[in-house]
Amino acid sequence: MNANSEASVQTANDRALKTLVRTITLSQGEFSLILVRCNYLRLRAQIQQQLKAACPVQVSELELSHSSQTLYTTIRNYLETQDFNRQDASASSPALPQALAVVGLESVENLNVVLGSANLVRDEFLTLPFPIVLWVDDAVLDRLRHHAKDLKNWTSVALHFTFPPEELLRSLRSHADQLFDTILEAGSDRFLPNKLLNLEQGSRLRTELDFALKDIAQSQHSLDPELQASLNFVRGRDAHSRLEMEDAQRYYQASLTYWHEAAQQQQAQESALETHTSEIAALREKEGCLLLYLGLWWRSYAVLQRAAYATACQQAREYFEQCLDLFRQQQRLDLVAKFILALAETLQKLAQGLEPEASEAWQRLEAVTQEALSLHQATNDRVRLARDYGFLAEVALAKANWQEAKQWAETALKTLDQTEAQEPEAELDDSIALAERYQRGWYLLLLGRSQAELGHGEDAIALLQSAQICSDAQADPVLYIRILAQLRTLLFARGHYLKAFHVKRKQQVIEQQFGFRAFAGAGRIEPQADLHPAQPLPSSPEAIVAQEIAASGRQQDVERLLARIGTPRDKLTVIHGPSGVGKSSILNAGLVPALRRTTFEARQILPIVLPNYNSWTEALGRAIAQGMNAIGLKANRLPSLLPVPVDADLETGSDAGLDANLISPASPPDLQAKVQDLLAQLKQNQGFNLITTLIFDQFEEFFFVCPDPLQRKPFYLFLRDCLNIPYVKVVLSLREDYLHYLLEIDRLANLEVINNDILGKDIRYYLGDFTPEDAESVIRNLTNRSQFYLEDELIVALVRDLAGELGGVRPIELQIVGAQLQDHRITTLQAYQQLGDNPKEQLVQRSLANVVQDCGSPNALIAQVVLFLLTAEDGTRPLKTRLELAEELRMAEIPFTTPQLDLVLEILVGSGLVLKVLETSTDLYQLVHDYLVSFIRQNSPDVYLVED
Amino acid sequence: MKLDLPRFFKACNPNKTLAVGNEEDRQYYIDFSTVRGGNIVRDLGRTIARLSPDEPTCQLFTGHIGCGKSTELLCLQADLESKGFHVVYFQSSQDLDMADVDITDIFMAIAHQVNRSLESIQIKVKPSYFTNLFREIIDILQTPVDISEVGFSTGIATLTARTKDSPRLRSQLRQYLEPRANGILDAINRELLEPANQVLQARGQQGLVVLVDNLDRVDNLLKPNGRTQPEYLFVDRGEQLKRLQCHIVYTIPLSLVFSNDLGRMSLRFGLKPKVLPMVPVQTRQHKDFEPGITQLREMVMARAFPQADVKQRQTLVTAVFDQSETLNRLCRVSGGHVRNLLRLLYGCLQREDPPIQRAVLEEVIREDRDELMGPIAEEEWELLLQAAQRQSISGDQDYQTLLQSLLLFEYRDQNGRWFGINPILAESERFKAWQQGER
Repeated sequence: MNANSEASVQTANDRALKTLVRTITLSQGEFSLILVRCNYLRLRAQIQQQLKAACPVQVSELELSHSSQTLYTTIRNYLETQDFNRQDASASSPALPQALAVVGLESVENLNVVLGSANLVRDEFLTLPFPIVLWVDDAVLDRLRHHAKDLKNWTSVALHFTFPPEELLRSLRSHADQLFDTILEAGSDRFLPNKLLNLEQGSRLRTELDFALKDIAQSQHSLDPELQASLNFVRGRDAHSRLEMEDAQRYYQASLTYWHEAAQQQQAQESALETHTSEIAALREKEGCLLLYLGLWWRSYAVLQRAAYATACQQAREYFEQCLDLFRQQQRLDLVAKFILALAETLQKLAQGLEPEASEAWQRLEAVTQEALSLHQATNDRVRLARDYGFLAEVALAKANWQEAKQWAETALKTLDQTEAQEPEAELDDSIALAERYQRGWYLLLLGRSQAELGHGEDAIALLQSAQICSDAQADPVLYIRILAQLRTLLFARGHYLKAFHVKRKQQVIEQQFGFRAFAGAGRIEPQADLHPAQPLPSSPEAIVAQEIAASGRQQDVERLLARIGTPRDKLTVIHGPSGVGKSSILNAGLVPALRRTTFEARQILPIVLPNYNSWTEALGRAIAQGMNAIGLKANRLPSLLPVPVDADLETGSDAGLDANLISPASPPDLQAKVQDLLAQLKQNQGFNLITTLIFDQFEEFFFVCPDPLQRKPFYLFLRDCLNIPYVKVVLSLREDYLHYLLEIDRLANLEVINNDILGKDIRYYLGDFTPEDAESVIRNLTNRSQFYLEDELIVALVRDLAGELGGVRPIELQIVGAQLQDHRITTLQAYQQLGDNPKEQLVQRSLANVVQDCGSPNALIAQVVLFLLTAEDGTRPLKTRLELAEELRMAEIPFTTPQLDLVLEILVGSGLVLKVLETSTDLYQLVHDYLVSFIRQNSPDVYLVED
Repeated sequence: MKLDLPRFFKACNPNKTLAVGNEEDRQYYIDFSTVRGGNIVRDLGRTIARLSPDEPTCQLFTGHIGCGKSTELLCLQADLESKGFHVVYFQSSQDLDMADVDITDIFMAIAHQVNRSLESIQIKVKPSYFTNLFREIIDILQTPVDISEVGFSTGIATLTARTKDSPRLRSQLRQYLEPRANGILDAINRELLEPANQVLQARGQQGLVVLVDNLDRVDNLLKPNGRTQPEYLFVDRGEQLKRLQCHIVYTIPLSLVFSNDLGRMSLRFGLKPKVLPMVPVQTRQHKDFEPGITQLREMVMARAFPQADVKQRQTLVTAVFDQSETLNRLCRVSGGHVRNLLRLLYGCLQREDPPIQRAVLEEVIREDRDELMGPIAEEEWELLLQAAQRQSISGDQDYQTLLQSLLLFEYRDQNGRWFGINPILAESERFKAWQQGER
């Protein structure tokens, strides 16, 4: 059979080559498109050699680059730059090849576009008077069928070259062995990404492996079980990295079963025959790899399903233990040394969890660490030794042996430092980089904690601060949050209220961004961070949008708004809805991040958000300059708005520097000149291939800031001119009760482009409260993803309370109340009802009280009064300057110092309760939502009700 | 008579499209209308001339790739002109970049072509809206376009010519035109079509008819709103396409006929698209359909011996094929898809000199089958087998892929339309096994 199929494949290849030669020869002087189908680069090179030898006509070769955008133009350009060395070429007409082979389509990034445009301009190809041989693999052929149907129909049956199945099987086996070797070599420190193995989807190796499998299947050959098991491992890893957990587990399990049984059989056989081969060792190695990966699988599962965290970690532990046992039996202490830390890490997670498992885990961790220590000492594996010391420090901390913990943490740091000093290069680079990214911060945290317990508070703060600097929230959010929590406690206890508050905010943001926190509180929702690289997610547009937005049933709104920005017809969008419905959140955490990563017509989108309207020209100029700066462009058409040369700061990207320069314009040029500059800049932006999207958030503010229609007219005229500039989009977002104000825009400025119909149905976009059903599913979505489970009865009661009489749930209220539930770990209906007669109100009040508390007890009263001063009797939120607030505090006879007021204001703003309206002249403060006014006024002691 | 192999080889190249204006090509031309069921073109013409000569109508026309839509539209033009209509036929691919079309591009192309045609019969209109529009466009487009002191006709001609080759310019222009689509539509009606219709009627002619060919070539690319370009143009914005005040026929991509949006689109336009079918080579009962096969045989032989007459050609079959039955086999297995037939024929000529041996033809068929079957997914097989059994398809999106990938063919007989699996696939083991199971 072997010889037979090898020979028949050879015959078929020969026949295809003969046909190719004949077709090229017969098509001389005419255009003809010949498809050649070949899946393997190595084979293609062979065939091209043979063609060169066999073909009487010279075949020139054009290799497309991965950045090619067109086929026809690339060929044309190629023809112009080549000298085909043909005697018959006259001076006037360019020389032409006798035949042209085009290769490299499989590596073209924008293949669909290239094929699509080739299909459209197919008539142009007819002007090329020579045959073109197009080399394709099966994937390209498939895309050709879909994106260049007509062109494909111009070709006859593709000529097919292939390897014999035996050859394919041989190469598959060698790749599988290589994969296991690499993984054994790397150890258990992380899930080796496919990219490092050249196995990512789309890589040439990967594609050819897939082709080989298909070709083998079609040749009626089958994979032997061993190859099948290796393949299951590869597929398991793929599914695992895509977080398709069920599939991954199934593949891993199937693979493990094979290696285990094969090893058992081999063992039985060998002991029967009393021989000894290396077969068993090889099988056991692979079995060990699978045990490791099943352990890693459970670790990923623990992160994904936080409710099952402890049980999943327990499972992971079992697999790691089994894996190590296996290697110990095989006397492969080298592998035990490489794989043991996965177990230690998991034990630590279990130990920090709940009793009764915790104490047992601490004991086991201590034992495992001792084993690891002796193994790593024997091999002098310093990077792993440092981690062993880290675990010993954890154990010591758990036992309240502060002095011992301090010593181990110091040893860990010293070991890492020494390793770096001694071996600055070589193959350790990668593991040192990993240690820096994942472990240095951990060692510093351990040391800081010991120091704090030993009474060296300021030292501890310094250590934790460097721990924060050394660690990367992206790489290990759990560690990062641990560092921040520790730091915050220390700072607050020592009266550094402002610093403590900033750390707390940072912690909350990280928790929200990484899905540890279900609810965002009063502030607007921040864009979501990318997940841990060990659990890569596909980067689709949905992944960009903050989880809260996605989970909150607003994903579709983001998509619709995005489409409006991309459709030339929709110049203007007016978003309207009630206060606190999430307009700012959807813009900032949903639309803006999505816009930043989208292109339309190969144009980048530049979203410019303006949240307030005092000196709107300056604010807009500044926002445009900053937005462009962030993508490496310079706004140089704004002389009246950016009077100070800002190059130096732009270069360093320092926002602070930019702001400082903008605060004092040299001389105030007139409004007209500023508007003209803005328009000039927007026009110029077309040339930068941008679609500038001006987003006017909280646009109702504009009517407060400019109460006189005469003041408003310049903005309206600016708006009209914007709508006439290509590639400028405008979004106005405002509370629905101010919608009618927009009608005067039609009156004061002629908006011909939108048919003078600013409130037309094609322009308005409504955002409303959640229905109770939506709210329920939002809560479930949000809590499911974080480690925070709410009883069903509680969700129902909560939504009923939130919905109130009107039956709609205001998103901001949901976020505030939810955040309180989470902070106080209220997860049952009973606990909720124990809050009082009106639990919802209690929670909102608590949320306010928390912020007041964050200011520190010496400042609490000032904070309370300031909040009150930012409300008005009629339920609105007056804008007040710092000076006004200070004056009113004095009138209320509240003692305070300037630094105290500054601290209070900063914390109120930072908490998201109060908005700071940035001005070039002075800052204004305002409560963030009307919704909060009644809560603040309700609970205020009469002492400072002085304004009446 | 001797076979001229190089000429025959070139005549069979599947990339060759027949230009009826070319004398050599005309010899290759075969009129298939007698064997295609139903007279689609007659229906289109009847709707305009008989049912609604005075009220504007808007109709949609489509068919498989390379099945002769243009030829049929040209017939329609001749027919309507003989009845007194002024017909503007144009290939929209001349004015538009099919990868990137928006509604105002179509309007401007129509305005351009109608105006050009009217000028040729000395009807001059002065659309003031466009004069203003052009003035503003000059301001907008940063690259100088010299349309300052020119009238409507040269202005619009320059604009369409310039923007077709420059995606950049087109995109810029669109930024300005798209938000004003309704204004432009009204202006075309008010300042171009209505005056033209009045003058035509004053001259005792029937009204204006516009035949927009090649719009079926618009690319299937996704628009930013997640809709494909055909869906966006003909479904989402079909309302606007319909509002032109003259008789109009748009060719549309066949895919729309099989999309879930067919209902919505038909509602927008008030009628279903008319579809031109394939040349039938077998009947619903899987019997040979002799007239179709005869026509296809004639087509092959015309390419081999263009000079010879029909009778002579019959005697010359064995100069091209080892036996007459080999030619029959080729015709049957092509499924009546002309280009498919040429692809197979060309494949044979690539391998050996004529006369083409049956074995060589079978080899080509086998390889084509392998290539065709490679990417068919399991779900697609399920759909295919269902379609083959029922000879009809539902409006499912998936069927569209089957038709576009030429796995399934559409035919028409006196009982309406029916669907058959590509005969090459029908010979696969997979299909045969299924048939066994069915019986």
